[in-house]
Amino acid sequence: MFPDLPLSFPMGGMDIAFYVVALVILLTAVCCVAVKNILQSAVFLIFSFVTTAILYLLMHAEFIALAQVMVYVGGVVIFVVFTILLTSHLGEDAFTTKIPRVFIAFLLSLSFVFVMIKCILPTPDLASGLANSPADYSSLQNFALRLLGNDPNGFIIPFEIVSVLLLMTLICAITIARRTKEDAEEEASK
Amino acid sequence: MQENISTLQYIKRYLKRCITGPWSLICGLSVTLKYFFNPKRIVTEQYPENRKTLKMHERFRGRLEMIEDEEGNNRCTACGMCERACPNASINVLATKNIAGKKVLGRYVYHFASCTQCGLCVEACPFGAIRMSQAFEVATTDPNDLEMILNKKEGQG
Amino acid sequence: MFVPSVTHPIGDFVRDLVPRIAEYLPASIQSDTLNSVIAFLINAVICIIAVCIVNIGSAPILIYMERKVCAHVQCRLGPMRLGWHGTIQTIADVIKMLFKEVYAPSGADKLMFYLAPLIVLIAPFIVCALIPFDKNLVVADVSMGIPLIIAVNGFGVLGILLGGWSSNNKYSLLGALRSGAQMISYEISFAMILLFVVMISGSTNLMSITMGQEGTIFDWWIFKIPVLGFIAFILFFISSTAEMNRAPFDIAEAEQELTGGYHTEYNGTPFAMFYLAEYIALITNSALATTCFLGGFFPPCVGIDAIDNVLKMVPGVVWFFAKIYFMVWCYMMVRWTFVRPRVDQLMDFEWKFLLPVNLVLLVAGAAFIAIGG
Repeated sequence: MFPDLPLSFPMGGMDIAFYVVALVILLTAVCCVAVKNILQSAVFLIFSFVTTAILYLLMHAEFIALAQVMVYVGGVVIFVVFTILLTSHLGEDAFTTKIPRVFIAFLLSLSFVFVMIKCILPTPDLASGLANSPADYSSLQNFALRLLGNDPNGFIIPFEIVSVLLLMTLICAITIARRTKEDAEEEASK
Repeated sequence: MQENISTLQYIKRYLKRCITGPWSLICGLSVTLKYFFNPKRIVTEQYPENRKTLKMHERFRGRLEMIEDEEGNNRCTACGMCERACPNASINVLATKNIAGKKVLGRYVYHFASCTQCGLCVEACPFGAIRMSQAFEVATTDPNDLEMILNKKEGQG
Repeated sequence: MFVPSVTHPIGDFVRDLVPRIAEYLPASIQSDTLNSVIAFLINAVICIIAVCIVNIGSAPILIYMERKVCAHVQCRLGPMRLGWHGTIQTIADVIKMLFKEVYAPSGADKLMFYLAPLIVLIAPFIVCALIPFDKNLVVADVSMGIPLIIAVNGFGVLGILLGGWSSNNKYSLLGALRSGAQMISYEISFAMILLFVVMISGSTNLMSITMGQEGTIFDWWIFKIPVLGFIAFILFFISSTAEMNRAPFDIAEAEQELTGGYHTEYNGTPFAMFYLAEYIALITNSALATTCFLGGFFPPCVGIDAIDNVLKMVPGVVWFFAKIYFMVWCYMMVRWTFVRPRVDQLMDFEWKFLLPVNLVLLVAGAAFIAIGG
């Protein structure tokens, strides 16, 4: 009757999962820009990030997926939502953006898609979907060893530089947010 | 409020609080643990179930009643102090004259509906003739039941 | 892998059974792919049902327990009327809750309003799937269990923020913002403590964290690292209490100030979901504490063979649930004993005390491993 038809069209369960997830990413991304309410668009952004994380999982890049959820859902988007909550009012639908140069925008995104396709297509084994990396390549242990290794393959120096950069941002943020004594006295005198 | 203290004092206080804070929490926990593991401490009553064995607390103020001896004699002299003490006008002391022509208590009318069980009348009574009873099941379906006459006999004078 | 698969006995049984049943089907629709997909789906359904039973089934028990513990701490009896000692009281409450009319306040953002309780439920359910209840009883034996737990905890904040904002109520918004700030702050120390556990056990997989504690009671992580283990346990207790928004850190709800915080406007089933999420979080956090510090499903052996043999006859699941409910009891005693700190005190406590102590603890743990371990 159905000689393996529905299951052999894509290569297997993983491929079905990939197409489903990709569809959800597209839908949530479109919703994110199409929805009028700004908070709803933030929520759709979150869902789009989460589905991207699921896409990473399907590619066996587990740590990247978790970092995606951790950084974007747990960090960035929460702060976006916080900002929206503190600045906007409920029931304010006046969030219509008219892009004056539709044609240029369209052209820009089209060129972006073109560049992506141009870069990705020459990758060998793209169609067959074979995993080229060794089995344990993306495990947390290997990841950490590579990140903190000081051999030619290691990334210890960029890692440390990034941490110094983060420290600098932290100190800068505190310096800006801190009220100096003169400020406090000025405010008290008022 | 910003206090002016030196850094050393601040650190001293900080370290002291690091010890006293958890200690106070442990003290609190010990109290609740004692309560938790000692069922005898429970004060709530399973009221309708333990109706037979329930004993009201001594200081509970139910409705007003007259102190009477075995023969039903009371000590009221119809002086009207309770009537004057009552903030809600729940008491009406109706006096009559006995055969000897002396003013005695005729009827002690008590409007339970407006009584707040404050107990001021008991405090005001110079002869100790009234008290608050222990009765607490005082609900009724007939408002006329709330108008009662407390004395069975005329007062002694 | 992240594909849910029941580990050995049950999963293998299903994988074994499906081809044998498939033999009775007409030959034209038989195929190995179909068999494996169906076996996978059946396993997934079993996993989902198991997680739901553990979570939803334990919520009424916890609510009953909370009411009883609360009552006995306050010299009361608690629910006594429905069933023996009020045992079916919570079931009645749940039924009442489910049959109530669900409506949103006017001016509320309907989509967000009904989405928020669902988002809140994500994190506790995922965490529950990772917990090893026994040697073979774990839904997802993931190699990166701890990072996943840290990652999904963000959903809780999101749900509360959305629920509070979409209610169109100032109390809700205040409660949501407060709890958002609180949960983001305490997530840091929560993650730090889990990192400490990862460091001393050398694995992010919850199963191997548990297996590292095999032996006597002194092999549990809480006792194995002399003083640090106990300090870490206390810090985990504090930060997870704050993470769950439970008293004494319940400034998100704070009935006296905010009438109910982010779920002021919720009723019926959505409210029940918030409530459920709170209690499932209680279960999962207790299970996490049990797995990371209290030896998971291993019995509390003392090193004397005669006693140990008796203890080992009890299955691991029983030990695990006994430890979970002990932890839950601890959380409840703390809830009904301590007073709620102010918002600024709460933040000060996290940023000025808990976080530095956590960092020192991490360094001390590393030193302990480098020198002694």
